[in-house]
Amino acid sequence: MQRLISRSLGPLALATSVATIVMGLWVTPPDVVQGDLARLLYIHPALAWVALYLSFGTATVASALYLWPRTRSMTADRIAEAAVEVSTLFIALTLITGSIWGRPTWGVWWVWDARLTSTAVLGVFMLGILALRRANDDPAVRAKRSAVLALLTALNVPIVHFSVLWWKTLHQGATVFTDNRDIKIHGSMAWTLLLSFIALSLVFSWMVRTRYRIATESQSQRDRALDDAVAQRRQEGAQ
Amino acid sequence: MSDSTPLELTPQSPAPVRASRRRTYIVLGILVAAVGALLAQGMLSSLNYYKTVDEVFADRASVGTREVRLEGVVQKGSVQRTSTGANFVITGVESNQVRVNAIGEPPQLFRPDIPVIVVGSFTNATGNTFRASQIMVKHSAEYKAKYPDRVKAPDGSVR
Repeated sequence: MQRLISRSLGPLALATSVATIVMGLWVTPPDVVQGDLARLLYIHPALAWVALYLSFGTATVASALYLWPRTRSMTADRIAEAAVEVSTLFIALTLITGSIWGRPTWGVWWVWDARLTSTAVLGVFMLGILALRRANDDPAVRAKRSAVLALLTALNVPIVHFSVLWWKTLHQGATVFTDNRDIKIHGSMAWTLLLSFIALSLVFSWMVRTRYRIATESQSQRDRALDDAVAQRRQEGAQ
Repeated sequence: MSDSTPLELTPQSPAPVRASRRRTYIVLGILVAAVGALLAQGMLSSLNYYKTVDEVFADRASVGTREVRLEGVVQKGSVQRTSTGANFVITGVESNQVRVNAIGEPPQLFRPDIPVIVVGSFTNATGNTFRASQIMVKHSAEYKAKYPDRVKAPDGSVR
């Protein structure tokens, strides 16, 4: 069963992504206000949602599991590492696609309003976690420190989410996850938006799984190298 | 593959012992207190990207002729394109109106009944004429399909 899942994850991610592109570019209608510019709807919000909740949520949970003594394991650390890396990629893409969308719609590439600034701050924190992971070789020390920083970084996520509610921003408020459950999108646009969330969630899953396997493999390689080096020294000692 | 990169196994002195944990907590505590103090001081309101027309009318003196970002809805029928930009009126509630003289081509989504943010300053401390160097369009979070053949209700509205 696990092999079936692992072998189908990649193709499924690819298929749903292609379906999203086809739906988004050709099947869905243009918007009354934004026209064809609204088609960026089928990539930008999903990137943001996956980056903040699915991906960084995974990193947060994995970090918490690592720090809790009863569930501490290098598996949790490797998952956290993979998830933080993918989160960083997705948040960078969120900012880039958002900027591309903003230029023709708002009229500017960037503003320092609360939503964009808090997202950028979150991205910088994620880069900080990646930098921290390279600052120390000891696996246990590295795991603990990056787990703590990941949990601190997670405090940014609600700030990003509520920034459009707490402050006056250029970035518009929520379309689906609104305060009063009033969904502001319908028909094929709504379904394609949902499809984009599913597609990018699958892409994330595939990326994290691949990255996790790379981390496991390189750990095995380091263990084997250690065993070989020890055996070699023993041999030299015996001579 | 495992033979090609041998591990570094020469003896090394251990890493120095970390300074006291208490100091770490004290530093963290100071940082949290500093952030809390900054936030409590009202820094939060400066995170607002603009003032609305209604806010300006409620407290005109606080704005004066300072450079501000002002948000309002473009009044239907008030838009005049000029050789250098556009002149139009933005409103909060209907009775609060600001005349905007903007330099520069407005963004492509600029149109009546859409909220915009104009960057610039009032021409004098008490009037309602605003000279803007930039216009940003603040479109809503709503997405409605554009179907030209859509059936309209008798009053012209569409669902």
